[in-house]
Amino acid sequence: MGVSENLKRGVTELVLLSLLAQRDMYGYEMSQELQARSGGKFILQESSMYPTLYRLEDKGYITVTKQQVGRRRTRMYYHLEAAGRDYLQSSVAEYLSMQEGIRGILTSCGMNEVEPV
Amino acid sequence: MNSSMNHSSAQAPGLQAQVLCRRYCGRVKRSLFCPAALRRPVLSQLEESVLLYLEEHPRAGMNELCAHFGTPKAFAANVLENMEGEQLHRQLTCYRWRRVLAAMLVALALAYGVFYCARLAIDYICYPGYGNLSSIEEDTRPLPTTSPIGE
Repeated sequence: MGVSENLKRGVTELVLLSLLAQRDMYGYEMSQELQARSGGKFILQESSMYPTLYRLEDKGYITVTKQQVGRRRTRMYYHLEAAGRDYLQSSVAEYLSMQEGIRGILTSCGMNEVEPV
Repeated sequence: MNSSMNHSSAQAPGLQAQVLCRRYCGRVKRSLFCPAALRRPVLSQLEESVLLYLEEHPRAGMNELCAHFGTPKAFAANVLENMEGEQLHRQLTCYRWRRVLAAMLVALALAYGVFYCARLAIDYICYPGYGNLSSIEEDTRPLPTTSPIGE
């Protein structure tokens, strides 16, 4: 697994919960929104997204409602619960704190001049 | 819900799109080795996502689907890789009693079948005349006129 995939794994829960904090969404919509809002820099494939969503559902952070959208077609909408909002808040705080710490390390190592991809 | 409105107002997927979707999802299903309770929702969501993608890209074929979602094998492998071991373990141990009960019933049925066949074989070998078959001979003698019981 490449570097970018490992980094993405760590923030997948964070970005998915952030989207759901705005409004209820379904899987395909979330992957499209992530790509659009990141300017194409963060692409999350459905195969990585579904297990994360099930994990969050298992923990009670999100709930799922099925909506019939056509003959034999159902769409699963995800909704952020109160416990999920609390978890999101603490995750964002932790992420920003860690980001600051990592930036400090990279700056001290002279890596702050590297151009982003 | 703008993007969802866009998806619902887009043209419903045609027959070709549905066939392509079923083909792709079928290949993913063959590679997705995990408990059915985890496999079913993944495939259900994948089907919906593939249909939505094909609505937005009507000319897309299998190559485009693989480019967007990954090859079916890669998709399945990625799903399994991202699943937590605890999730898989919980699903595997869930309803274990059903599997144990089914295995016991099968074992009992097999044991009964073996016992019944063994009994038939023993009866055939140990009791001569058991189940003797011979060809039918026509008896052309006249019927007796007197009663077999002495008067």
